[in-house]
Amino acid sequence: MKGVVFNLLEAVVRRDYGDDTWEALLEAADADGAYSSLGNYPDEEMMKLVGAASSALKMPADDVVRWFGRNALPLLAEKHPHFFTAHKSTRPFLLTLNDVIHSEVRKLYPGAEVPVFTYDTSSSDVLLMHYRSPRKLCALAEGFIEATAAHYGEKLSLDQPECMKRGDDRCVLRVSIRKPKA
Amino acid sequence: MESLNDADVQLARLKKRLEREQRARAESEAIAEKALSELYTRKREIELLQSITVAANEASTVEGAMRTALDRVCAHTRWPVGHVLLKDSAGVLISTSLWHLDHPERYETFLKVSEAMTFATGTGLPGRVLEDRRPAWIVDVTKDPNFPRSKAAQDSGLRAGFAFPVLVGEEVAAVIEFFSDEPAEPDDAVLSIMAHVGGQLGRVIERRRAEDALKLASQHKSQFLANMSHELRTPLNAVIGITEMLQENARDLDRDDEFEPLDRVVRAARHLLALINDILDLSKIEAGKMDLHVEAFAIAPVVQDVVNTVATLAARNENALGLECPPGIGSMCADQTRIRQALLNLASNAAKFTEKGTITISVSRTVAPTGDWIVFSVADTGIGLTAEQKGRLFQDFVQADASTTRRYGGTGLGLAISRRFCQMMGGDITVESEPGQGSTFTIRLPAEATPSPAPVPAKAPQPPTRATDPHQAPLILVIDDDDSVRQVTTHFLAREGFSVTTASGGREGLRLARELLPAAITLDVMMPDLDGWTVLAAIKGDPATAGIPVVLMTIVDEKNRGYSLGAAEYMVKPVDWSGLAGVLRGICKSAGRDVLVVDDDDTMRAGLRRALHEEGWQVTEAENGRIALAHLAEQRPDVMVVDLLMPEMDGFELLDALRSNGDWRDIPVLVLTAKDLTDEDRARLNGGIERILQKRGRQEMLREVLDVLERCIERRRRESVAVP
Repeated sequence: MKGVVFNLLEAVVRRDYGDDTWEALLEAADADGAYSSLGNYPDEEMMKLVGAASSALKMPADDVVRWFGRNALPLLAEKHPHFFTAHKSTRPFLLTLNDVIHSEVRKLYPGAEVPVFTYDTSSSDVLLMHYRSPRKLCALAEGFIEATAAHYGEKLSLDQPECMKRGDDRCVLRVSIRKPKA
Repeated sequence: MESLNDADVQLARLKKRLEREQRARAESEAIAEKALSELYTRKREIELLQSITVAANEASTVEGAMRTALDRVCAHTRWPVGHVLLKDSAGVLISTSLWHLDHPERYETFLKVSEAMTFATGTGLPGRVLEDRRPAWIVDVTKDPNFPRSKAAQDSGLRAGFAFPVLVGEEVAAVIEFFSDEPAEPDDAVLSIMAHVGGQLGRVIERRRAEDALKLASQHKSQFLANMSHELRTPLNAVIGITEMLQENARDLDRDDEFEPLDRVVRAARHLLALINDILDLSKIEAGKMDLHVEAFAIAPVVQDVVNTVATLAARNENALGLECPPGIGSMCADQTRIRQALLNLASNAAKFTEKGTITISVSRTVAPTGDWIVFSVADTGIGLTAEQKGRLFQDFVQADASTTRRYGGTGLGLAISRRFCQMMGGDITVESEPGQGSTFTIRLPAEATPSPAPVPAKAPQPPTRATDPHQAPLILVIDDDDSVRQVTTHFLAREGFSVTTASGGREGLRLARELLPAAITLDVMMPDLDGWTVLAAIKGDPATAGIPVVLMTIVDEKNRGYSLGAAEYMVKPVDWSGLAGVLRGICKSAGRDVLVVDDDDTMRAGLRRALHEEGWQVTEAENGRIALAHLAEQRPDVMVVDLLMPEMDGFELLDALRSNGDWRDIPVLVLTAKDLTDEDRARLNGGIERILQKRGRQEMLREVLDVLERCIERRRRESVAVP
């Protein structure tokens, strides 16, 4: 996993829970802690950090990941605003993930392993995003999607009719945007 | 204590954090530096490939592209030695002298040893590349078991080596090898880039091969066209020659109903010949085999000549034809014939495409510091050309409009050929035209044309005319493999007062030339057994025959070569018979005015002899028909003056004998008689008699005889000018 993800996690933990918490998490996870955004680090190290946070915050691991996604996204929006300003709402932004966002990620961080989403756009109200990844980080995707809606000032309901963690062979993220009242 | 402890703990954490941050930073820098370095390497590789690609596309030779590749790869790798090996037809790699050497003197041993070697499949570094068809690397050539040059490499201080194939498709066409001063581990990036370089160079070779094949195909095409035209022209010349003979017979026998259709045959055949000549001209220009005959000539007569020639055609469409030629136009140095041809082409086009209009041919001189230009222009008020037609106008085989051929005739090659000729002389033809308004074609030529690559050598000095008996018709040896050409040439030359012997091939011709020592030889160039060039060289090489003037008569227009080999004259088929006769007469001065006087009256013969001698005739005398036949057998006279009443064999019998002999039938005969002719006599004389004169007052009669003979010879000459 790219160092930039570790950097993001460190930033949100320090901000919301203080420097000591991050130090404690590093110690608990037996992690090295020196992460260059350009470097590559084992996925397990991220999982151990998530596990340590789950214990320390007494929160299910998926909730930790979702919280991380929700809080990391504004940092990304701050750093790379043009990806967000190019759209006015959540749905078109989400549809650019594969072709724009992740292809840019690959340019900035050569070797980055980013997921490829497939979309079901048959309904104009409900967007179905199919996710398959051995990392099973659908919760991170949920956090990112929720924060994106917040970024565009939209309310949405999000659930997963299918999830790899429940034994399905893919996750389906069902995104329903509630239209702001006129 | 507590707070101090806290502070310590915090400090320790901060230190730890700082240490982590430093490590992260160092790691980032290392990653960035590595990325930058890779980026730089990629950039250099791309530049290398790009420069080699550009060189490959721009290099005019394969060698040039290889040379660039050697230098660039050595610069890229910083290796001091690069060398090209080419695969020969046996599939072995041969060292070339194409090297890149940073210090030539230092690597001299290695160079010498390498250049003396060849590499079979699998042998040494190049052989391995040849076998595997991919790049190969040797860490240290001095320690490699399969490196025959290891001793030389060691002496020259060379250690690492790599080589890559130049691939044309799947085939290794060449191998390029490089050596460094230090042992070096294989560099995959270098090897992979070299595979690309090899591919690029392979395409250069591929392109060159394709170009060569194309050039060869084009040469074959031109050669084929040249041969084909020869094959076409040979029978066509026979058709023209034999038809002209028939035509003449028809005229002589007053068979006008036969003459007219024969005339049409001749004209159609000549038209066909002109088309074939155009195609041949163009194929020769394309094959680079067209000679220019640059000489100084007065411009005005040429232009006037074109105007005269085209006048009839212009009049046919009721066009007014004008000439604007300043009196002081002077002369120019160019190929007169080709300029005339181009002008004639433009002028006859103008006449064809203009009706009830005006055609103006003008010529002017433009003075420029770099030399004068002569500008010819042909302006008409005819149908004109659209912009699109103008664009296609000078293309080979293309006419302004395909339907033009059907309406106006022509091959569509004339303009293209004319333009090529003008370009060969350093000028060009341009056109300005408005549809419906007319066209102006302009030929611009330097007044001093750049001499053609093979300048016309001065004509071989005319060999002194061999002593010929003035009373003997000069013997002409006609050497031609074509039966009909021999027949027609014999016919016309005999009529012009020559005696003719023929040979059907080069060998026979040479033999006859030595045996008969003819007054002159006409020689065909393209013959199967021994070609004309060889025969000419042999004739000129033998002191016994070197003095015999040779007139080359051929379809192949290579005057320069003919003259340089010693030909006295060069005539392109179809031969202008009167021109040939004139040439031969010039060579054999006494020919063409031989008269045989047959009369039993001594006084009459003496009077005729004196008068005829004074007028330049060569006179042979016979007392009666029998003696005349004996003379005829020896030498064919140009004309005969025959008395009718003679002892032993009278004039009637003599004339019967003449008519029954093909060689003599054509001799014009002036009958000179005192006899009062009966109807029966006249019937017997009918045909083949030039004129019947009654013997009477001497002076008057002699003048009339001379007039008739003179007219007779003159008419024969005029008639022999081919009907256009």
